[in-house]
Amino acid sequence: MTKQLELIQILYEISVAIGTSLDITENSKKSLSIFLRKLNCAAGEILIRKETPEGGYHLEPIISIPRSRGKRSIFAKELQGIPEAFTPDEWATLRAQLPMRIEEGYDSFLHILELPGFGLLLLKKREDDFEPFVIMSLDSILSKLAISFNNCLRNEKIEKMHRDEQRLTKELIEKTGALHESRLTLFHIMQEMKEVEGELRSSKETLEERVVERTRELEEMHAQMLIQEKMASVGQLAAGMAHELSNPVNFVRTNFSTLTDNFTDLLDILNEYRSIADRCDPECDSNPDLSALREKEESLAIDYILSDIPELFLESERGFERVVQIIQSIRDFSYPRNVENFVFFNINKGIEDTLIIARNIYKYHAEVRTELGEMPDVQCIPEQLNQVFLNLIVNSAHAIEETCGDSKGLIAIRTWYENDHAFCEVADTGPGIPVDIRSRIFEPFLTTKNPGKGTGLGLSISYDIIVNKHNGELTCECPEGGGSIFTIKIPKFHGEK
Amino acid sequence: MIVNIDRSGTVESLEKIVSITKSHEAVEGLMILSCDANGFAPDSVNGVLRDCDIPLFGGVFPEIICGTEKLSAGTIVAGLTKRPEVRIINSLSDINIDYDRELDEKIPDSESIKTVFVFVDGFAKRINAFIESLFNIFGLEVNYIGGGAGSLSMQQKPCLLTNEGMLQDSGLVATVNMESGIGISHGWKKIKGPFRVTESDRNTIKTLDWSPAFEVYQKVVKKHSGQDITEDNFFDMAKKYPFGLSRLAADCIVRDPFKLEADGSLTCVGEVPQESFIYILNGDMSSLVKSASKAAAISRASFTEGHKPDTTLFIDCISRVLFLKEDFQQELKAVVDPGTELIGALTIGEIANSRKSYLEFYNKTAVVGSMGN
Repeated sequence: MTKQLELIQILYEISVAIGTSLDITENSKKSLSIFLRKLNCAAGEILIRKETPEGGYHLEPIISIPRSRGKRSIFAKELQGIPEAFTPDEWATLRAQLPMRIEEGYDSFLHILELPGFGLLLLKKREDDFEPFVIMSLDSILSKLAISFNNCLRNEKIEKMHRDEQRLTKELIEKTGALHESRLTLFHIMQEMKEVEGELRSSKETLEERVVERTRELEEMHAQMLIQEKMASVGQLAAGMAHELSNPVNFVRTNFSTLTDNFTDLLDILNEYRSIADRCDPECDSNPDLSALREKEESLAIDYILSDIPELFLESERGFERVVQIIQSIRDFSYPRNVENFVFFNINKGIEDTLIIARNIYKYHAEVRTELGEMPDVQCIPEQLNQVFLNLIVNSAHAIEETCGDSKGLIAIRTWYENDHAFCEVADTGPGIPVDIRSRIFEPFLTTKNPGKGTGLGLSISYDIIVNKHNGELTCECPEGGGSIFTIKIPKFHGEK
Repeated sequence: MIVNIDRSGTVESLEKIVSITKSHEAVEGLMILSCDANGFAPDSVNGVLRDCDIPLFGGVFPEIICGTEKLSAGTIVAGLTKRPEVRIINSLSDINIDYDRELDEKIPDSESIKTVFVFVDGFAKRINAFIESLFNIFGLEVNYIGGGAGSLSMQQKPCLLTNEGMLQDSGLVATVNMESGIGISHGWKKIKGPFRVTESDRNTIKTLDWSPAFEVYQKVVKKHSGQDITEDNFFDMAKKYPFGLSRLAADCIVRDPFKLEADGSLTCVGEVPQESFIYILNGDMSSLVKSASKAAAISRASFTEGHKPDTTLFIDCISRVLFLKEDFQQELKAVVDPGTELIGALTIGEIANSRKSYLEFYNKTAVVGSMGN
């Protein structure tokens, strides 16, 4: 009875101690340890039954006390009679023989017990072997132990699945992260591409604008160069013509002066002859020759001719003087200097010369009133300033012509000097400049003139000459009453503002 | 073994007998058993231990045994003629240490290992886990013998002797290719039980059958002895009434209660697992002396055939001395083998196996080792 009671206690202690962990290694170690301790065994081992690919089984130790380094059972020697691998039938045969007791010598006993559905439990006793009822009593505990081991295996599978799931989730997160990063990178690349594309487009547009601008500048420059070249050619031509005209005009003028003197002498002699004839004998009046002469004088209106000739000579003399003046103005206007050289020049003289040259353009439509103030010479390129004066005077003349018809308008030119700057104002009584283009009047190719009458470059060139080349100012005002006023301001010394 | 004994217990004497013993040409390692009363401390002893150029191991115990004499001061230095390999496991109270792994890594497989000396700090808290791990590694293919070192003051302090110096809260394992036979017996008889350990924490029994452990214990002791057991006389009474953990068809494992806790818990030397069944034991001079004699006989009987032991190593529990008092001399006489030299230690817990049963940390048990080559 005591033995039974003791066994029940021990079985209770074993049953409480086993199956306390879902880790197969820990559970098997604890379980084997408690079996050995409480059943007073010398050694033990738990074998797991594993299925082979061929559909059979083989046994593999999962825990051995004492320790086992390899996969072989520590009881390999005692288990020699038992195969390592089984067919299902062989396994069934072995199971039918369990529990099995193998004796080794007189004092060592190996008990092979079944862990149903899991494997085997091997317990080694020395000297004092189990009594048979002890082995029989272990059945329920062994079943419980097998269940707990199988639960460990299931838990292992679940944990493995859980670990796999966690690993996959982690990989998924990492890959999602990587994908997100890639998308971000792609987004940034696309952003950069868009920016680059934008910059390219902008550069292209800027380039196109610059090409258009540059083309326009080149066209403008080309046109200016053409005009300047033309002006230079015209100037040279005019200078050449003036020079060529100067000599014949001079000797005609000189000869005319001599002719005037000679004619005066001849007139004196003629008057003397006529006086002598008047004083002749009346018989002389019957002289047919004399009568015929007198009749011819009357028919030729010699008296009128004689009285008109001095006036003709006087008018011719004035004409010669004017021709000489024009030639001189042309020569001065188109004096062949280096066009890039700044020299000191009196702009009043430039205006006067320009007025002479342009007279033919304005004389039918406008009166010119000049108010040229005291003016020191200023450092400039005279040809270019004359060109500006000419442009402004011609523009005024054309403007007046368009509005005034047969009646004459007024071009008022005023100069003055103030604070080391020379000023020139050209005002006209034309219609003024339309409001919508006032801000663009210095742009090249802008013209309100009829086709063929203007290039649209006059004011642009003038602006370039005054502002860019002479560091001056060219402004335009359009008073409410009509007309326009252009004012030129240039420093006395080039390089100053 | 080549044995030298110092009865003075001084460090100088220790140094002297260590020197004498190791100078013996056959000696390849030393086992040192010394008394707590020597007052050895790391500062004074470490130099001697560390200067020793051969492996040494041992401990400081409440008392030591020399022949039929029990010494409360002095040192025994036993020279081993086979070279021991000494491994130290530190932190023997640390719940986070896996001793299986520690021992598996430190102790190699060796077919030449026949005997394993195991000494631990007797007041370490995980001695059972350590012993269990040791068994998991070696099983019962070798003989184990040893015990818990320490002081009867119950204060934990450096008590293991190694080439590294004196160690506390540690365990040492000395493996040696030395023939041995081990006998274990305690002589305590069940007087009441079984009681179910319904709550315990390692070596502290909190409740028995859902009642405070002391309450149950007190009733049984009073009924058996006719004496009240109180906080004041607890130690004197408890040494006569240890607990017994049952094993199948074998002597139970004795657990010695040495401390009554304020909450009525009883703290023992060695673990008492929860949900185990325990008995309250009692013994007398006759049963204990007989058990010692039995242990000695088993040790001699199990000694390797064809070999003759030269030394008897007697590891006996100090609580048996406290219980037997002057009768302890009878126990020593029962162990003496005329053909061998008897040395030993009175320990705080005994460690042994008899090659046929599970390795255990025993209390109040007589462990006799017959040693030789």
